[in-house]
Amino acid sequence: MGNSSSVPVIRLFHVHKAYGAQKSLVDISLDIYRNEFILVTGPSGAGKSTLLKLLYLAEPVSQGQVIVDGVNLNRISRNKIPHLRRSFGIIFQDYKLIPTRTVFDNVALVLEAMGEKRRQIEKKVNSVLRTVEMEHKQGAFPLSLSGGEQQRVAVARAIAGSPRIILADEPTGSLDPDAAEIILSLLKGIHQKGATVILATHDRTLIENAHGRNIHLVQGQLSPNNQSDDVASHGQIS
Amino acid sequence: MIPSLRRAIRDINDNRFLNSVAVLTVALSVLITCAFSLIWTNVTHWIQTSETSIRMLVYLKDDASALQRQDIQHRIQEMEGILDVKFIPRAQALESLRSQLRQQASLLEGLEENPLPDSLEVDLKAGQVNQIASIAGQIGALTAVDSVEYGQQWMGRFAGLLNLFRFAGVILGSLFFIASGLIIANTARLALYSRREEVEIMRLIGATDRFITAPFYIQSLIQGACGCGMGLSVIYAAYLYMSARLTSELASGFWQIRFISIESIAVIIGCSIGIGWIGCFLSMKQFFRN
Repeated sequence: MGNSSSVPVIRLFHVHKAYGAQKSLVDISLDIYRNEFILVTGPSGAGKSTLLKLLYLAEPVSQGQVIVDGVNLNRISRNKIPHLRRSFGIIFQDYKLIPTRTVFDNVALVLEAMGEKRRQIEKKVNSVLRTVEMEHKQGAFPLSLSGGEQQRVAVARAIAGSPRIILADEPTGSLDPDAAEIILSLLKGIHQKGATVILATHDRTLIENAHGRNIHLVQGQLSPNNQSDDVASHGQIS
Repeated sequence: MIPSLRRAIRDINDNRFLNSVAVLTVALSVLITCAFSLIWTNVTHWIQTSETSIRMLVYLKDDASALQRQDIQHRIQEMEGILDVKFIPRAQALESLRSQLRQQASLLEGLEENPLPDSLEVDLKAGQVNQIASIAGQIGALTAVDSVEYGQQWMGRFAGLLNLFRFAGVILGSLFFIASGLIIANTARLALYSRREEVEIMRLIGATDRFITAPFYIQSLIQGACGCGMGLSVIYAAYLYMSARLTSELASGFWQIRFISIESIAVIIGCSIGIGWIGCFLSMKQFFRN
């Protein structure tokens, strides 16, 4: 997958992330363009999840700068963080569904948080549940579903707000191959509709079938194999 | 607003016990404050309606001339809060004392001369209970006035008792309202901690703090309003019961129990709802700071 657009939606400049003395990411610089399908790969502990967390500000960078849609995350005010997160659809390995809410309510939550009207919410939720083929389970509670079904609900929640960027952190990590294939095909479908997809995974089958640009991390650093293609311009950011 | 209200109602339903405790505490606070307020309202009303019987006795000096006496009588009549001034000559005073003593009247027979001074009976208008000491001071400063009596000690004790009662009401009411606030704050905090994961998920998907906290605020307002409604209903039922009993027992109906003023009720409702809001605000602030 080449650069579909000359405008980078995400730029990382010499990003470092450390938890105390433990370095998780070291000097990462890269550009991600609109409508790209990115695979962030590497062994466990390589910093894949950390990289994604920096994008939606679950973690702050230790050093360097992250730009999302022209917004420098180092300078974003606290009250703008929810708006930033709404520009992403996030899929987690552990699904992060609220167990006391039905499938419908879990998906509707994103739209409620965005202030959508009830009728609009019903329409959109039904539509995304149909996309992930979970419409018939909209009244069910997450714990009564299989792992694959829960992840499909999580995908529905991620796309409900029509975000331009999907962040998927090991979305198939807890799933069997068949369920993983369904999730991958859903992500491909979302990508084909114009979204930028960033998928962190160490699942070899997924990497082979995904056909995206590979950003390979080893011990928190970009692997030399892909660095030449992906490194952004190293100029100063004002 | 409607999704937040829906979530608040669902939270109340999910944590019925905690919410019931919070509502009951507010109700108890309202009940105690209202009970004190009700007694205070009625006692002060009773004092004001029975004040016409408050009378002062102004004793004149032995050497006061008739002209001076008339001048004093005129000056007192002109003072604010005075209903009537009546001159009691010393002879009439002795006669009155004799008739009051009845069988013991013979005690006065040995007197060579009348020991009683000329005096003035001063009746005060209603609502002057707080001014009585000042009026007595003004009268006592007049020339030819020897002394003024109005049951200072009794009045002082009664006023002191009333003030103590009012103070106790304010302190107890405040303590209970503070306790209600703390319980509501704890209810909100417990609910937040029990939903820590849910709150975290909401934040990750882009919910604002306002969106997350709105149901908790609505919940605390509902607790305050329900507690207040419950407390006021109980006190009103008690008022109706007492009122009906006293009216039938006293029959004459000359003294009726009064309910708390609208202004006081408005303050109590405001406090109940306000305390819920403040309790919730403190919990939210602490939670989101962490």
